[in-house]
Amino acid sequence: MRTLGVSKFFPVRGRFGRTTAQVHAVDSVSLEVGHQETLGLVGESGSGKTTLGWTVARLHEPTGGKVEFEGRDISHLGRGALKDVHRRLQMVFQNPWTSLDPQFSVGDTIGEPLAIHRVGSSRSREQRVAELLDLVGLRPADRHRFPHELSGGQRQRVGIARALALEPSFLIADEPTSSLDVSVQAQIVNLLQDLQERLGLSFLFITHNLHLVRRVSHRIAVMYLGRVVESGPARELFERPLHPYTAALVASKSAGYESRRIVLKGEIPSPLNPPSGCHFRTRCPIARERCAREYPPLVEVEPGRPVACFYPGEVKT
Amino acid sequence: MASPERTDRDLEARSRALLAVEDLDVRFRSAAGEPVHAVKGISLEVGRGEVVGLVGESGSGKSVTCMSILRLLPANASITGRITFEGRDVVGMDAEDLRRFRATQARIIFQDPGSSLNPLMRVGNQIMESIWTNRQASAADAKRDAIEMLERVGIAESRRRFSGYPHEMSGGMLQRVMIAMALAANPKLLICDEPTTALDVTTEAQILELIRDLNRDLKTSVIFTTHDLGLVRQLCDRVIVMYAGAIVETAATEAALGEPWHPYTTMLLGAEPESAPPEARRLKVIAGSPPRPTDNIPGCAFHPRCPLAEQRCVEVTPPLMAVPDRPQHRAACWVTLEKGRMGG
Repeated sequence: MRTLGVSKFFPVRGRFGRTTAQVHAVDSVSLEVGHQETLGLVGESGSGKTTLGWTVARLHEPTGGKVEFEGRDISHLGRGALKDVHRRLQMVFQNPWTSLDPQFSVGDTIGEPLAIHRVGSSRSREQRVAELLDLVGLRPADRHRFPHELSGGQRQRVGIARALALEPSFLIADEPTSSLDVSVQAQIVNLLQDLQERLGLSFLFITHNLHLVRRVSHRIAVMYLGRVVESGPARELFERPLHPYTAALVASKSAGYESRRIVLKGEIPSPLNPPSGCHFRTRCPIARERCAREYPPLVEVEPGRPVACFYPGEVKT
Repeated sequence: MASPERTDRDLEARSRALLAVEDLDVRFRSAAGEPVHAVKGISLEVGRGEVVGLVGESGSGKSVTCMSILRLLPANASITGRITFEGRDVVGMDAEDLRRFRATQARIIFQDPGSSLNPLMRVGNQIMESIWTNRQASAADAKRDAIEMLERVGIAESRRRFSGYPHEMSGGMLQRVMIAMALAANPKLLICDEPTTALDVTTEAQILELIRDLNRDLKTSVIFTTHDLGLVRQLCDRVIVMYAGAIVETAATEAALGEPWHPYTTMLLGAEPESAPPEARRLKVIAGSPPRPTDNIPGCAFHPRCPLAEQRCVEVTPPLMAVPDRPQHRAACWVTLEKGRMGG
């Protein structure tokens, strides 16, 4: 999967339905996810991470740029062609309470994609549902249960099984653990890693939790107000962040007693009206005059370490 | 049960403590079925100027404990036990005493600040009301103090915000307003019930910094409930870990999180992405889910998920017991207290 300068703008409508402004939810983002690779996409609310995920999954059509999947441009495919794409590219959603139909049993939920895509006979579908239950660590008897009878962790397992039903090569997981208890979150994170190894999946793992994403990702991209501000190999990015925003995220909730706290001032500005120049400058501890004038381009300051900051590496954790 | 020596120390601690909770037990009656046993005979203390972290996952009873301290539970709750605040009995207070206690002595802020504010009333007026519940002041004085409070909690353009409505503010700002309202009363105890769970991480860091400053400058005692051990580590002097309505471990933060004695604490630390060793890709897993308050698990409530569980854990509930050589560090586990800590 590859995005080339992908943008997604949403119109803001004023009176009489006229478009009065555009929200640049995602602004010229280029990313790549290789075979069996996990790319962690980190950002806070308003960063555009979820919009980007939905655009890659073609639940949104990009306003600009290109989304390529398995070598093919899928940016503007119609519904019929997208159905094929969605056999290979699936999503796991954040909230297992709202993403499962309360009137569908577990077995029906997991088997639904197979039925929609008319895969196999009804008997072979039954067989496949049984395999999927086993794959995600549910018991055979669970197929007859309904969402309200399941715990949060079990529901998320059902969501994962449904996503895997059509044997996709690429999964987009949007905050798959953020509504779960800590002790259950670890189970789901490990399950996703197991599945990656066993099935050779690629992942786009979207989360606000940098510490979590470090565990599951090979590479990480950090977004702020619609743009990628830094990306790199997970461990390097974590141990030596180059962008001041990444440094602040790494410092938050760090385990070490002695680690320095970096408390940013102010709040995330509205994506409707982002600051001039570098979007992060209003909260940046090292912002200078130049940052208000120009947007720092994403430049590879070291091999494999692109960062959008005029003063990379200046804020230390 | 306790030795005379222990009892003396407990008494001494209690007289120094700002808040003492003893054998607090909370059950909810429901229209259908069994009563829910939400809090199972817990005891805890909060010292003056102390920040205590109350940690637990969903259903652990941490929020119910907080609500009990302020007597905010609904009518179908039955509470037994003793709650004393500066030596005064909270459970026996009449409505007027209780109102004054909540307005001036102990304040609470919640996870969702939006639902705690009146959407139709200007933010400033709500803070002024809070000031007036505490003392008499002219409108001009109260307004000046309210604006000062907004500045104190780090809200920019405090004059403009004073006249604004809650819907014009972000979640982080609303939580600051809640803290400002709480502080307007200059309480001795601030209970924070998951105050940052709904906030972004960078905003969360700001709110933690604010609570830390208030504790340092005003000596306000704080009870901070969270499911996040990382926050406890950054903020709290002491930690109380709850599981299924009971306290399973309590100690100074460094001791409890650096050298935990209860298998649940040990395993919870292993499951946290922040706490796992730097190289680990896989997190340590606790099998199963936290029990629901309706599940009645005999013996130690953690035994179905515990790799160390033995027959006695199924049969008899372990009390909180001091760990070897550390009278202030207590854990409720038969196995580790006899055989030594569980390896991380």
